[in-house]
Amino acid sequence: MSSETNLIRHVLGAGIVLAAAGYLVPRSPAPEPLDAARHHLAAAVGKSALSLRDEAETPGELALISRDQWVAELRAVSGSDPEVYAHAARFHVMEHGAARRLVTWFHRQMKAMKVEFRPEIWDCDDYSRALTSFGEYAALQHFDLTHGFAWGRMIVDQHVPWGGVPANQVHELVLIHTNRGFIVVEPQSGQRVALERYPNRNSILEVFID
Amino acid sequence: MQLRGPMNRLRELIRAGIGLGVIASVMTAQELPLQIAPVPPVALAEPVWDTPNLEQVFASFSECPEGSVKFDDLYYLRLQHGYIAALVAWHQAIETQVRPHVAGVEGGIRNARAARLMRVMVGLRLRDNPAVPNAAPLIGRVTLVLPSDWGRNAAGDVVDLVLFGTEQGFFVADVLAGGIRPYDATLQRATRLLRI
Repeated sequence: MSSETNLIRHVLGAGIVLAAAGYLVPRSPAPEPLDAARHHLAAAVGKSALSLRDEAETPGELALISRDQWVAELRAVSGSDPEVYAHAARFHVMEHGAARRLVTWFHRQMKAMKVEFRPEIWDCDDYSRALTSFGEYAALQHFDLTHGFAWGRMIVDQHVPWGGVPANQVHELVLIHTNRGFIVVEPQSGQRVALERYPNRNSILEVFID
Repeated sequence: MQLRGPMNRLRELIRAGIGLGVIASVMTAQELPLQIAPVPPVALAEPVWDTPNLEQVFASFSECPEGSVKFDDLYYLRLQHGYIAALVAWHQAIETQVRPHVAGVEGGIRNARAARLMRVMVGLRLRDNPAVPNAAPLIGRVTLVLPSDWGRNAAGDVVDLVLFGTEQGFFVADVLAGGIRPYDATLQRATRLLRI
């Protein structure tokens, strides 16, 4: 075999190896999901991006509500008599518009991060935790959340499908007390409704305000 | 009851318009200084496939008062014991970041906040790893009446603590003070609420 043929073979062989290496090893590694999370959380905390107070509506500090009042209103509006767990005695009341913006913002972040349901490891309780955690830490940049927000993670016996989640299961959502009353939020879909129109309001089992 | 006159309706429409403007600004927002850094790579106890179920975890809390233990999931993942310190250090860095904005704390609420954030961020880390079984990390929150002085708290104080489950058992941490101790029978008997 001539040396030219050998050279061609070696060049072709090296090309195949390099091509295979290029195929197997991505040129630029896919971004780690948490980097995306960090970016989007960072993007969301600017006053222009996530306003939690409409100053034109109620100037001054965020209003406060007592635990007893929160619970009494919940029972009156829902018709349920859930167990309510709350360590603190008072909570900051988020304004209605701010709550809507927060929910929209959160849903966008979940989509941007491609966060999807995975049994046990990322399910309804994790979505609820994430909404309340991300909302609080974003808000902490602009507010003294000494008392925490007047919201809770709500466990319901979901006998009517709502928010994209099927019926006949115990389910967790977020319940926010705003300056216009309670709203129920399905963190997985971003859907929200006033508590008085929430179809499973009669079967609220527990609420954790933490 | 709120009045529903024509002026109120008009006001709502204007507010809705402002709301749409704000949503648009969310889409175009620039990156700003606050970042919630990812938790350190999660170290799970070996073997990872050994995921205790709800009943097995519940057996570890046999001294807790009846009805005080609440579970969110059916299967759980134990952390490596050494990972607790890494996670607490990670959270302390975040607390330092937000502390200038917080004037006061009521009743140890920040440990409850920390427990939630840790569970969320560890869950996000694990969620995309197909090698990790479908189970929840053993990170939760305990509210108890301190039986004796501990760190910044006195005996009799009602405190929130972060709960961790590891290959060495269950431990509680006051992430602000930095203290970690076993969640032993005495603390279990003093528990008002455990949620994991």
